[in-house]
Order: sequence, then structure tokens, then C-alpha cells
Amino acid sequence: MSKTIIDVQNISKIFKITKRKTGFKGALANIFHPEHEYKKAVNDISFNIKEGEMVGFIGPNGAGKSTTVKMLSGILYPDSGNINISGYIPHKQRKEYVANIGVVFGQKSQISWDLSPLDSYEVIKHIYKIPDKKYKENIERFTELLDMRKFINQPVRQLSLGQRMRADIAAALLHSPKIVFFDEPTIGIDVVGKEKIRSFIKTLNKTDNITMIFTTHDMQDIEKTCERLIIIDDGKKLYDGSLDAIKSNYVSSRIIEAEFEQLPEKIDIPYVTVSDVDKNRMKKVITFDTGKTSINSLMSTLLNNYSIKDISVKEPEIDAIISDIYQGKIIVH
Amino acid sequence: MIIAKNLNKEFHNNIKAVNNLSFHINKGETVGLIGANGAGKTTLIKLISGLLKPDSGFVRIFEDNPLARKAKNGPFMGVVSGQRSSGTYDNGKGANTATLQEDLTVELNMELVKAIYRIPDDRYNKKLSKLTDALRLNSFMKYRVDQLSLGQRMRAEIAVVLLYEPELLILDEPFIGVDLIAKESIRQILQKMSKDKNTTIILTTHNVEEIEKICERVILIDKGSIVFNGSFDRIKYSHASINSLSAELTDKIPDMQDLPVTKYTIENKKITLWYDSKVISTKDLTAYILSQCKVKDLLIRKPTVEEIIRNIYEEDSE
Repeated sequence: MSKTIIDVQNISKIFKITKRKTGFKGALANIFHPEHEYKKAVNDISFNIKEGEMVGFIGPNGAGKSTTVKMLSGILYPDSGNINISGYIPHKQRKEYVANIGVVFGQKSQISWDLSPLDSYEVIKHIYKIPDKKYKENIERFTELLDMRKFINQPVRQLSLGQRMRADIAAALLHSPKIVFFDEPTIGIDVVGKEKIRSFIKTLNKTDNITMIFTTHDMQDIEKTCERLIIIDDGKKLYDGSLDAIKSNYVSSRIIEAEFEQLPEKIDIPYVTVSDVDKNRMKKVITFDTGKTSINSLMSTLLNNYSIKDISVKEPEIDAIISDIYQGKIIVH
Repeated sequence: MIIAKNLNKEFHNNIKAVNNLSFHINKGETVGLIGANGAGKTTLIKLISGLLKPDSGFVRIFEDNPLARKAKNGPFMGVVSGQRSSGTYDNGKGANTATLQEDLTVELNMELVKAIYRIPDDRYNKKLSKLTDALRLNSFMKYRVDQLSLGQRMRAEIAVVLLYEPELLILDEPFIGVDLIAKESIRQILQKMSKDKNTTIILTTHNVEEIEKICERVILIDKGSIVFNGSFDRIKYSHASINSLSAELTDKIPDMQDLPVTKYTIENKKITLWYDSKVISTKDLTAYILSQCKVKDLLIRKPTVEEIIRNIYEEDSE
């Protein structure tokens, strides 16, 4: 059993936001009697993460994800509650603490626009006082794993977004941190680039036993990398567990997509909904619940009684499942 | 509605961002533009929307009836861009379009658009309340734009452009940072606009599944040239035939020895078969399995468009 490395207890964070009034009077009022609104961005969240775990951290815009990650990385302090990460209190022992973590923001880059990645790495080497041997080893490995040889000497401004992101990820990992935060590392990146990043993150998590926290809106990222998922909404923790558990416990519907050779008669089976895909009506989407309808008999009925050209059976998309959770259509605990 | 002929655009570093590109788009079409990072999508979008001038070739955009269009109807074209261009890359957060004024609240930005395009009160109010609901703008309507998170900002930006209902809507990575609920509402709005108002939509995103849901046609760009132009069905038929079928069985495991499948595995009561649908059709295989045993659960998986596109990119780069 590996030990707990991140221990978060009942943290909350409240922001003060100035409300703006419109019009001339409003503008004056804004200056002399500004009105404030208090917003609980994070409301009593607790969780533990073990060493080497890889946790997806998701929620709708404004749920409090970024605020939580900022508190974990020591940029913000919690208004109440405790955070203990690897023996440090992030916002209090910031200097000592940050040597142990790496942070990758998909939106912001930490490598210099006019330098090549390699030059930026030299700078980072000095900032973190990385020993020569370790530095060389890491550069070698990351160049290989992230496929960076082609562009490691080119100025960053000439790189494509996918290349830049890879260079950025390597930069965050050079000092061999124990914990790495990824904030939307695949944002705006094409499908090949995304795959490269996902597989790199996964490999590193396995081989180096690095603890990783991953925030994203791309559910494929989660599906392909994270075993554990924390969902937060409205500053509160909604769910903590695996994606598979959500699927097997809360999702029992299946979707059949069938293409018919000739226009089928009305498909009338209890508890089964049928809808058209396009105007020529040869393709149908058939949705049903495996708890109410046996898939065996439904498929047999379809194949025996209708002339079918092509058929497929899918689970609901994760995007749809998670979106239902955000909207309270699926209640998880 | 849009005709592009032999478009060329080269940048200082001698990279041909757009290379002799021609295509046309009809009124009311929904077209997805797909390409790897650096393929030339954004350059092409800028050429179409008039932000860049081509080195040679031309883009022509025709209106159905330009005389009928008055100032109060707002501009003909709306552009939303989520991709930050290299120049503004370090300015913190935000998109490179000047659609939103940084130091005004979202509400004032809306009022501004209303005033500029002289949108009548009743239409403005109706439209605004619809968009506010659909994109959940209420929680940050009174915030200044520079206080918004990326996803909120993107939603505000889309709302501003949709406020004046352009006939031609160009969206470059509109889903960046946007959460699943908002993504769904944006998708629904676009589908509705395309259906009810016959709006022409050009959409680029790396979220290929989203393109598949919204667009009838896809244009695939690589190194500044078009490599595919057609429907999703065509791309699927020509590139994907390896499927997989997995079934959870109640008792007996069927005999799969003689099936013309590529590979199969048996794991407790679960079987998975990989097969080429050109060799054995899904229908025949499923019928066989169902005749041999009882299934508790069944999944038949075809390659997703994302996987197909990835294969096409990878073939190209080798």
C-alpha cells in the first residue's frame, strides 16, 4: 500500500467580486460605494491522494477546479481547512515546496518565446539547481519520449501548438518533481498531438511513480489516462471514484445504430426509443435500458425481422454521462 | 456562397501556409475544417474572413440579396476565434479577436453590440434572454471580461456574435476551455441556426466528434492543401473497416475457430472479436454469435472519426 502524499481537509476559499452598475449614476456609485459580492469558489472539499496516483479533476466552468489546483500548488491560500502535501503546507512553505512539484498550464507557457526549448531548459536547470547528470538524463529521456529531437533547437515561436506543449511538459518535469499538476494540457492540440501527450503522461506516471493531477474538459483525456476521477461542481465535491464505476453503477442504457436496406415498418418494442438520423430515414438510433430490455432478444428481433445492412451497439458517450452528472440528471455519490 | 480559387499565402519564414487551395461552399452548408496544428486552418479562416490578403488567388463571398440587408440587421458575417495567435500568446488569457472589450462587463459588451448594429429593443431582449439561458451567462453577466475564466469568456464571445444573427458564421476553435454543458448548448444553437435560419457555418476544431455532430461536410487540410473534401460517411467507408465486437455471455462460449475474424480473445465470460467488415459483415457475425449463445451485454465498436483522422495524419507524416 502506498502512502498518502496529498491530504486535503475541508478547504474553502471565498472571493470578493465587485459588482458593476451601469449608466452614469452607476459609474459614480462604483467609485464611491462599490458593492461587493462574496462567492464561495471552493466549499468544504476534502480528499486524499496516494503516492503515484493519477487523478482526473473535472467540473464545469466556474466549478472551482482552478481555485483548488491553485491552492494545492501554493499560489492561493485556503480561507479555512488544511492542506498537507508531502509534509509541506503549500502556501506557507512555498519555496521549499515548489521544488517538489511541477505545473503545466495548457494556457500559459513557461518557456521563453524567443529561445529554443533547449536554451529554456538551461535556464530552468540553473533556477532549480539540477545536477548535471540528472539534467542530461532527463533531457535525453524526454526528447526521446516526447519526440522532440526535430525541434529542440528551434525558437519556440516557430513551433506548432502541439510541439510547444510537449516542450512545456518537459520543462515542468526537468527537476524530477514528485507531484505534477496538469491544467488542460491538451487544449487546442490536434488528435495526434493529444495522443502523444496522453501516452507520455501515462508512461511517466507508471515508470517514475509521479503523482499526477489532471484537469481537463476533454473526457477522452480522462478515459485514456486516469483511473480515478474527482468531479466538483459549485465548489463542492460531487464524486470521487473511477470512471468505470460510474459506467457500471449509473449507466445501463445502450445505443444501437442500425442502417436498414429498406425502409423498416414501425419498430414498436416496449421501453425502446427509436429515432431517425437523417432525412432518408434508413438509419435509426435505437436507445434502450439493459435493465428493462434484454439485449439478446432485442438484437435477435432486429436481425431476424428486418433487413439490416449495418449495425453497431454503443454505450452512451462519456461526454453525455458527465454532462448529465453536472446537470444533476444522474446523481452520483 | 463562398468561392475560393487557387489561394496562396506564404509567410516570412517561406512556409506556404496555404498552397493553391480551391473550394466552394453553398448557402446553408455546414462545413468542418480539420487539420493538424500548423496545417493552415487558421490562415485559411483569416483569408476567408478578410483578415489576411492572399498572395495570389481570390476569395469571393456572395450574399443572396445584398440590397435587402440594412445596417440594422448587423453584419453579414460573424467570426469567433478561440485560438490565440502567436502574437498575443503571452498576454495572459483570452482570444485574439477584438470581439469583447476587456474592461467592460459582459452586459455592457452586449449593449455595445446592440448600439453598433442598431438592433431593435424587442429583438435584442428576446435574443439576449435566449442566449443568456442557453449559455448560462447569468452568473457572470455583471463581471468585467478580464475577470472571466477562459470558458466563460468563450461563451460570452459566442453570445456576442450570435446576438446579431450573421448569415455566415465562422468559428475557429470555439470550444476551447468550454465545459461539457456549454459545449452541448453551443452545438444545439448551431444546429438550430443551420436548420431554421439556413445559416452557413464554417467550423474548425480538434474536437472531431463535435464536427461530426454539427457539420455535413468536412474539408481535411494538410500542409496548406486539401486532402479530403466530402461527407463523413465517405471518410468512414473509405478508411475504416476493422471493427470489434465484445459480448458478455450468460453461459456457453460459442465456437469461434472457423470464423473469418482477425483475432479473438476469451476472458471469463467475455469474448471480444476483431474483424474486417469487408470480410464478414457485422450483421452476419452478430447473427452467428446470437444463434450460438445467449448474451447479457453486447458492444459493437467501429473506429471513431477521431481514430480515422489520426490514422490519416499519421500516414501522411510518415
